[in-house]
Amino acid sequence: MRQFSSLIFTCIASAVLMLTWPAAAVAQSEPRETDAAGGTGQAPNQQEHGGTGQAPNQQEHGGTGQAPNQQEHGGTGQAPNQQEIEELEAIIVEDEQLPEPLEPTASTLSVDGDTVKQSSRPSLLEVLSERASDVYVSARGLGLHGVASGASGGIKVRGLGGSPNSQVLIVEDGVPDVQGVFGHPLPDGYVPFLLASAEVVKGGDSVRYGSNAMGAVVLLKNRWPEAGQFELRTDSAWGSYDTLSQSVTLLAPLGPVQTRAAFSAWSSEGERDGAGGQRWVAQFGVRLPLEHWSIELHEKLFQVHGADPGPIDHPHTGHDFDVLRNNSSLRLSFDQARWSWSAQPYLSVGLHRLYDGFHSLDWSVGLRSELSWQALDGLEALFGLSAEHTEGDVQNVADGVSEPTDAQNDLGAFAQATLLLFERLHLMGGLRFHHSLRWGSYVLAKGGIRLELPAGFSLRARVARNFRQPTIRELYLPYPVANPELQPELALNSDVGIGWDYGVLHLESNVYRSYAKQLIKTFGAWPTATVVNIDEIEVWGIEASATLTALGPFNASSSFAWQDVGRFTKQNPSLKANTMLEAVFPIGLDTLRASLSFEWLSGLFQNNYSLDPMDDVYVLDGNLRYQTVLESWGVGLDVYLKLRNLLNREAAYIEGYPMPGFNLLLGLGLEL
Amino acid sequence: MGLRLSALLACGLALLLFSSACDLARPEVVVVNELGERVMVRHLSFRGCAWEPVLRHEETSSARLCVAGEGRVHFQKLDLTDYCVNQIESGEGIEGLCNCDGTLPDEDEEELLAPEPLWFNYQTTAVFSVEEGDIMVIRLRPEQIEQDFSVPGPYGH
Repeated sequence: MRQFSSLIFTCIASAVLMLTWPAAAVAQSEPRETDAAGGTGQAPNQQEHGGTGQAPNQQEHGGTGQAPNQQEHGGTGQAPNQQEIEELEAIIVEDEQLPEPLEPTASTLSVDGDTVKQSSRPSLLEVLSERASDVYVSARGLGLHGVASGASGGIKVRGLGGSPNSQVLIVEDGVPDVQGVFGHPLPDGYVPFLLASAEVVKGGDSVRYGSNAMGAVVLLKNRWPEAGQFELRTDSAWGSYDTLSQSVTLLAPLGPVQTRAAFSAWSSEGERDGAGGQRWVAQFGVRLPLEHWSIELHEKLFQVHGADPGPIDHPHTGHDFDVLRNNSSLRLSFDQARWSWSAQPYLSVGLHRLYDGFHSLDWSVGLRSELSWQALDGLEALFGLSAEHTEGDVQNVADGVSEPTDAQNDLGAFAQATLLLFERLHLMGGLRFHHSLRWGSYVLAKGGIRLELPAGFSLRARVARNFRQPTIRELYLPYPVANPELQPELALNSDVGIGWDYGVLHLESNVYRSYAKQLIKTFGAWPTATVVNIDEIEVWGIEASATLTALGPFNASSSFAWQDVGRFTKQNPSLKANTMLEAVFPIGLDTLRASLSFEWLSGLFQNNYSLDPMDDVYVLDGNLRYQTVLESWGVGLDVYLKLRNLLNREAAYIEGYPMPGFNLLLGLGLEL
Repeated sequence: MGLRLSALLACGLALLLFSSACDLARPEVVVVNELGERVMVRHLSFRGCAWEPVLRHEETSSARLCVAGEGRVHFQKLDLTDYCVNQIESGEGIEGLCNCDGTLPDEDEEELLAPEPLWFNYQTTAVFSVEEGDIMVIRLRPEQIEQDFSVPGPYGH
């Protein structure tokens, strides 16, 4: 094995040397040209916001956001010249695909779709974890997280995340993605091939998004073709343990109609018995833009098949699962100079089957409507209504026993306003009235402030009262236990931050407090387990980050978070650090990118009360990418190599489920 | 550019071969049942490997690629002698079908055994360590096993 490791490192080093030394010479002799032509002066693919950083969309609103990466707007491989850059920047300002406006007082993390695709991390949530130290995501294998026993993909943001991720709401193209019976998103359902951006609103936002947006909200937005744009991309990859990945993406205008479609499939034998699986995701969208109106149809169908391989010392086979889900939504929107309005009905249906006879069919039907009004320069108001009905049938097909469940029905009305004074002071406030037919009414609120100071400094603070309703599973399904008397969880999250921008350097630090009441927790083990509301928990933490961009051909970022989670230690690490180094070398019209990503995790326990401590996790991943254009064919070529666990260290996020040793994925992307 | 691209593709090919080698470099493990003539084992597992078939005395499992590291072999054991004795002592068995003198019943009579036998969880007392590239043969011997109370219970959905 060591001989093979030596071979691979020698090979990589030789390739990097061979490919980069002429470019490095060019970079030294002609630094200005290199910066302009090679795109090395681009902003990093990821921006973490909270201190001074703003969401990319804030360029539209006079903010100081930086340009998204070249790749997103420049196609595969070819480095744009200065004129093209200016044209692209013009497009960026007008780009409707950029995220919905966020209140500027929130601490957010923004990652564009190409960054997610190019990351060596195999899933979207893991990429988010790689980019922010106060976001923790568990993993167990080569890319499939799974469901039920033995699953990974649990997410914790600043100490809150639920079990496994019910306290972090994922909103895809405006629709909250909650599997009806289970009340949490399925991490395996997100693939980046159409993704335009992913944004994490830390501290949550139940005022705007309702239940589950308790610890954070992850906003996903998929791409539409721009005017006259036709794009056909394929991506094929093969890697360790017979891992295969194939995707096809199409963005095409059909007359006045914009269409998008993507199909991706993934399969792997897994690093050990029972760890393999398959997944396919099909997405389709149609948009008809009119003068002021726009109609969109979103459709996503996916299937995940895998298994729980069991703890490594007690592995088992045949503990498989199969999930088939469909998410559909229709969006009608109207835009005028100071007004915009949208209404979006949606439907989510899922069929889940487990090896032990568990069989469920769940569905959620809902409607969201928002009205945005720019009352004055600097004053924006947002009003919204939401309604949702969730229901499911659950039975054990092995013995034919059905579990009785009740549907959940909710209504919500909210309003929020953001005010910009003297071009420096942002104020934000919001209120939501939420009514559940089962639990009655709740009033949720949020408020924030942000002050831009001279010399690149900024200060911000935010507080939000969020909540989460118990899921149908927690209320009625005895897997392992249910309690129909459960009450909703409530959280009061607050943070203050300071940021400083100085040329290529961005520094930021936030102190946060996550406080939750009536948290739903499961105690004991089947068959004597209980699930109850506990009184309260409190998490204090601090996170700091530094970003260096366009330092010659290099970009670097580092973030560090420490938190005191008290006795709430289960899968809630007290220390996390992430560092990324990226180098972009233009070679004529081609581009070579190389990056390293390091993660250190400490204070990780498999259970609460500091029980079952786990070893620190050190993971080093690498990425090598060569992009060129075959001019005679008019095809962009993207050859990449993702190297995971470069140091071949033993590491586990979940006790008994060690991560694979060194493994790699070699891929080829083509773009027309 | 062409030269560099060719070099890159060549490296890619080498990496493909290396990736295949990653799989082959995993330790290969075989388990042999030497617990006794009338002792059968099933559901063997070790470092991420799981063997489903039943192993009779001196039978060998298939070779599987496991995960490097250390651990015990876990399995379920059925002692036919104990089973027969228990059957006769409790009066639940059918006398004559269980040959407690050390010989196995005829194959066509095995299905008449009643009730269904209980397989008990056991593990090796020794901890075995395997490295990448190792080929290991683990022999289960009566003096090197103990009852296994560490089997995880059902977790739920």
